[in-house]
Amino acid sequence: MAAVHQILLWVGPLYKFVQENPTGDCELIQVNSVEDAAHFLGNLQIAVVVAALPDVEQSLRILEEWEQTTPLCSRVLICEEITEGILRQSVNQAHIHQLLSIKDLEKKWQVSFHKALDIYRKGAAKASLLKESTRQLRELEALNQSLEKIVSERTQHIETSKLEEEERLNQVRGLTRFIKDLSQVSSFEDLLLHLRRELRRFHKVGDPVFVYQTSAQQVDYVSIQSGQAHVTVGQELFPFLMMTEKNHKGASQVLANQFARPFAKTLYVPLDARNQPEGALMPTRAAVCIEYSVREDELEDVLTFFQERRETIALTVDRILLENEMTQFSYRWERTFDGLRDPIAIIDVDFEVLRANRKFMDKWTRKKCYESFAGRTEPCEGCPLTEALSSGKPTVSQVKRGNQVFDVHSYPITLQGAGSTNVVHQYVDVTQSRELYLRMLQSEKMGAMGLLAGNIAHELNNPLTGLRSLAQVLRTQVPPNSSMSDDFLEIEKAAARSQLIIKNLLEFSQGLDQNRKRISLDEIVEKTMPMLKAVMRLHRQEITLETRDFLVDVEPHLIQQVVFNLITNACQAMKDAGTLTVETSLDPETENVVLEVRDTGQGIPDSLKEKVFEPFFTTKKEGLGTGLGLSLSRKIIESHGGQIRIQSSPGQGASFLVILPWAKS
Amino acid sequence: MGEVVKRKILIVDDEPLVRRSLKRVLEIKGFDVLEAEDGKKGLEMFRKEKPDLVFLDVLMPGLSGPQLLSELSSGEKAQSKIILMSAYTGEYDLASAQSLGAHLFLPKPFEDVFAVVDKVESLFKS
Repeated sequence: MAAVHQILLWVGPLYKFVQENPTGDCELIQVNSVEDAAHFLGNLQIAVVVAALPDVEQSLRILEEWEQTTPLCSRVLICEEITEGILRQSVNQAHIHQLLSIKDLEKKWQVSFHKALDIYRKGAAKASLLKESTRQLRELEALNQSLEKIVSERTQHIETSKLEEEERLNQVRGLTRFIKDLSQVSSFEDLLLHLRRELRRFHKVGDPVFVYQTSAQQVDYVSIQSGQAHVTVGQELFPFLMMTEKNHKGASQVLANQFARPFAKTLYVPLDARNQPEGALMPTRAAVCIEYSVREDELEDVLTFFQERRETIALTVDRILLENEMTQFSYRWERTFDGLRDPIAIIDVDFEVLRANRKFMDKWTRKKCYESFAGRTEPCEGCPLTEALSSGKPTVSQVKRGNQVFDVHSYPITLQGAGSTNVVHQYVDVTQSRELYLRMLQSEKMGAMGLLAGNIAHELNNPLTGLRSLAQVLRTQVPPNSSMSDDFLEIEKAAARSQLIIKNLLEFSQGLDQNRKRISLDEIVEKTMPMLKAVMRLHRQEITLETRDFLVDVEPHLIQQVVFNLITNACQAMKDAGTLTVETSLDPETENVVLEVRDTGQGIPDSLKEKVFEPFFTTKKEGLGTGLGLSLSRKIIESHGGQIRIQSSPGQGASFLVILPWAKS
Repeated sequence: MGEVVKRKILIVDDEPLVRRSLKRVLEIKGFDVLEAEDGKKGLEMFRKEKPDLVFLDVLMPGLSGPQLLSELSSGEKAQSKIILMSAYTGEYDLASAQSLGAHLFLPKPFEDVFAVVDKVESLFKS
């Protein structure tokens, strides 16, 4: 402020003492007229304006003017004489700061001037302060404004990035969901339908088409037709590329041929991940094609979509191809197992069937093995599963299902480092071989018995020969018709009877190499009866034999065995004393010789009439029967061109009919 | 019947009742009957007594009938008529018995012991 040049403007005649006693650092400028003074109006350097014109009115006007234009400067009026009018006027109109009369001037000038200057200075300082504060205020306001701008900008930025974040998050979520969904996809059809759902959000983009090479010559297409995925075999080679390609014209053309309709532009995305990164030399073998009708630059979203998902889709394609291969592989295995003769099943520790071939069960259902295989409610007797699992070694044992006998081979499945919880069961039907074995055993037994019987017969025959001969001799030594003679006769007869029994027994047991013989059934029955005395002893016997003259061509010892079996069965079927009926007769109509063996036992229900002839079917207690008698009998009779039939109703006993052709000539 | 020298018959069989019944009926018919209960004793007695006829069982403890026959020289065999007997039908028959040096084969059991005596007498007549 000090540096500012300040001016005292004197309007009117100047006084000497003013000139001589100037105003310190304030410059004095004197003008004489109102007009001259007007030049300085507005000059802010004017600190004090003194109006000292002879005409007071003029002075007042000047000051009034200054008051209006340059209000900061101090206004001083110098007049001839201070009147009340002048005072009122100067204060009211010009708002002067000092009023001096000429006569006081010299005395008061210094003080008044400094007062006036002081007023100016205060006013100027105030004004300057005000100006400064106004400026500062303005600055503050400006700052405030810019701050607000920054804040709003920032806010907007934050809001934008929040949106971006959300979008990104959504994108990632979408991608995650996509990956998750694809991981559950198990076929190209599913994959395609999935992709199609995802692509719906893009406009003017058609349904995707999968194309993959199945062999050097064959390409398969999976496309969507009326909402369903379809696989079609390609007609021609497909122009596979290594890179994603917009508007792949070759693909459009092949697709148009394949689907017999025009194709717009085609976006081609390669999908081969296995050892074939994009740009590899090997041509890819799978791709997805999307038809579109937008401009290329509008395709960016779709491209981004695929860029993000290409790898996932490619991996899924890879997986599906691999799974298909595996399925094919396991299908082949399944067929192999289904083709096997024996039932095979994988069974877990709880007897649950995990897998099984067709021989095991026609339609696979999750059941216990003993339920589905043997129709039982608890594990089969002799099941090797538990032992196989506990020992970890293949185990085999025999299990019966109805009349069938199986060798069950139990192979534990051992996974590395763990004990086995599953086994593979193979069921080998040994019914036949067991039957053969038992039959062999039986014939061996019979052979041994025959040998034994031969020996016994020899041992018995010797004393019987002596006994009989001696009785014959002694009878000649006593008077004929005496009671002694009769006694010797009886002894001789008994010996003869014994010899006959032995002879029959020998025939029965040593008959293995006997030939067919023309004989009557009656004779065979008669020869067999003595051997059945023990088993028949409890029952009444009604024997009626009427075919002595109607012969049959048979191997007698075999038929004897049938008779033996049938009569033994009949007697065993009667728990209490009953009636055994044995009849032979000729059916004149069919010219067959019929042997009927009838009992008065429980009878045989219809459901078992066929079963009783199956090997190993037996209702007898363990050890009493092998279950082979009737099956053997049927085989024997059928080998002679005959039949065995059952007539029975429950409670009425059973009747077995042996029908053999009569050897007429 | 009234001849001074009775024909001597040796029965070799391990079954006493067979020996006894044959002895009885042959003695009734006027033969001199000797018995041996097994093959060894039968052989001894055959050589010592030189019987006119021998009943020889096949199966015996010690020495069987055929073994006994194989011990005899053809000269010894020619001295006597030999009848081979067996309860094992099928093992021997007349032809095989004759090849062993026997004159007759009798399957046991005998239906009629007198028929056996008839055969003995017809052997002596031939």
